[in-house]
Amino acid sequence: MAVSESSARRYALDPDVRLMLEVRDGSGSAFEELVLRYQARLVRVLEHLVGGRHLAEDLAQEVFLRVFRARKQYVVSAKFATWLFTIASRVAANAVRDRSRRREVTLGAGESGPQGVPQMDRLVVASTGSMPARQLDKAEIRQVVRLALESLNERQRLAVLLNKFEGMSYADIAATLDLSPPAVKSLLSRARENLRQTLEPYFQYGTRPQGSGGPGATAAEPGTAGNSARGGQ
Amino acid sequence: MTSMPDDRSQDDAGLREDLVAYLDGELEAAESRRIEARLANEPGVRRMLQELDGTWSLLDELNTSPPDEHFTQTTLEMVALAADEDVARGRAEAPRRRRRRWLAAAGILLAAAAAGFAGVALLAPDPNAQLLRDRAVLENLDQYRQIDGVEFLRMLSREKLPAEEADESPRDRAALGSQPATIDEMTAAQKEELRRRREQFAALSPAQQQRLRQLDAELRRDPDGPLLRETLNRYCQWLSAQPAYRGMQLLELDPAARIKQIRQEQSRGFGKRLETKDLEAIARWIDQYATEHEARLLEGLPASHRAALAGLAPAARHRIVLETVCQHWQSGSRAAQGAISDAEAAELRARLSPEARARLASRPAAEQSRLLAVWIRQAARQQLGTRRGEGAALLSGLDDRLADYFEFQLSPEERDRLMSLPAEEMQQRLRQLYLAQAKPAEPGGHHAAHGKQEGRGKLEGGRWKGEGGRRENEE
Repeated sequence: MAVSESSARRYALDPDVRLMLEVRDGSGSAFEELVLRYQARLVRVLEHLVGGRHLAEDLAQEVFLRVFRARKQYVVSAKFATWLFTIASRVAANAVRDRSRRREVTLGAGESGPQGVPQMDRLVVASTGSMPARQLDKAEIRQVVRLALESLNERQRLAVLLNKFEGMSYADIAATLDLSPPAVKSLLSRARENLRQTLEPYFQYGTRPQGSGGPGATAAEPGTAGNSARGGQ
Repeated sequence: MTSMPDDRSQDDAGLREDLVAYLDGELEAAESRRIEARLANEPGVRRMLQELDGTWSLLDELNTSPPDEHFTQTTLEMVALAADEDVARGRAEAPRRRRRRWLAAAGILLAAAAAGFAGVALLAPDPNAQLLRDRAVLENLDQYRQIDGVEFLRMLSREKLPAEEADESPRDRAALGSQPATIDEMTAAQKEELRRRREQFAALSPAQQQRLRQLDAELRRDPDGPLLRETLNRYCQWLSAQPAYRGMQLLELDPAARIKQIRQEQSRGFGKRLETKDLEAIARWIDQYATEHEARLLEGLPASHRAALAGLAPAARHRIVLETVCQHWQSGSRAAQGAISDAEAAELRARLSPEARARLASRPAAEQSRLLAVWIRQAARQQLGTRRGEGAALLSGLDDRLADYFEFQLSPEERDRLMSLPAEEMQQRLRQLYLAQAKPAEPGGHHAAHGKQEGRGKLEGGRWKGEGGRRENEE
């Protein structure tokens, strides 16, 4: 992507861009500094993108390796974080695609579907049954939120993670996802609405929902079935 | 069944987008005011905002624990390995000249990373395993660093260069003694020496480490291995009588040019080592020199070092001053060479054996002081070697010398300028400065040294010169 001189100068104020320029010029300590600054953030985002800590750490290493290998060609075209998470999103997308291919082979047709949805359904069914409404404990809340996030499609999930945890502006998210800022506005709005629909019944009264169906159905078709399932809101 | 989107749901979607953007601080001022007006007047809009905000804050539950140190370490190691592969590829593809520059760049790039987690490496479950694997390399570390490959040794061997016979076993190996089978069986001094070399080795870039391991493996496999090792000993022995910068200069050349240079140097006949008794006599002279010039030498140190030294017992302080003198002599620094008065030079000659004096007298006047300078360096190296834990390597310490030069001989301004450069450029510039001050000046040329050049002013009048009147800094 062509970058104007003024925007390159603007990005050059980003301390991490300056570190990366040092890496390009041969500084090992600058690279180590970047790893230390970003490893936790990168692993967190990847963990929620691919749904597993171990895989997330492997992918984070892959991302750092790509950064290192690209050092000689590095040109200042965005904030460093934007560039890093663009690489991360590609690496994660590849990993998810590879995993789906393997699943198709091992599970066969009929068991595929939106990632995370079967888990959400299982959670709902397992947690309701004949049990009365009760307060959720901390671990359960975490699990439900995690599954709600996983029920989003990949783009929504990445936009949410970058917005929530990286504090990225719509413009930076747009650069990372190769979208326009208005498209990001719309994407994040749908993602938040999906999360609201999925989580709201759980947490409005701090209880698990009675019976099965509602939340599971909401989560099953984010942005479609969910819209019609909002009748009670 | 889902309902078709109607105007209402489209309105809802538009409002929701604005509310989310409002929460994210992404609305223009006018739009924000419009939303705020609706929030103030419409309970349904307020509720929608609260629900969106409430579920959003639940995502805080998703915070995860940061990766541990092991993750950082393995990430950096993995990248170091990748750089190694790049180096190997560069080696296969790049012309020789470019290759050397590439290796140096990759080396410097990763040296910092390697040093960065050297501390972590010490905590590895079995540090002895790697230590044992690298032991053969560590035993020959300083010698291996003087050459760039087996091929050069083969050329030297064919040319029967250097012609001098090594007159003692290489200190490199001797310092580690008779090589017990396990680390536990080593004496404390041997362990200390091994630890010192391991630190030196760890400070090298992974690419350099790999090069040394490969060199060691090639020497083991080669049917001419013993002969090549003997050549290496002889070469290092010969180098030890050369100014310290010579090894660096030679490594800059390609092997053929290097061989030519060595032949030329050898033809000048300065390679022959002195007898031990003469080296010892010179060492005593250096000791006396250090005593007499202690105050001046301390003056040349940075204030922080002076303060630290002031707190030491006189004997300990003298030992450090002596080491400093030896390092200066060993480096071949012109400042050190120039700081000898005629009386001191005469005193030195008087201490030599009749044979050494005769050897000196057989030279033209202009060469005598150069030869004496060579001998002083030999003695200084020996002295340094003896003082560092019963046998630091004769040839070790190029990095030490650069560090010493950086710390003690550069002005603070020059140090700051260097520190502000990128790592690779800094190393390059430092080497240039070091070589510029260590190399002999062009006859009648201008002195291009930098830094403090301690003591020159005071002893300028008494500078040690040959009768020929030319500048007598080196050979």
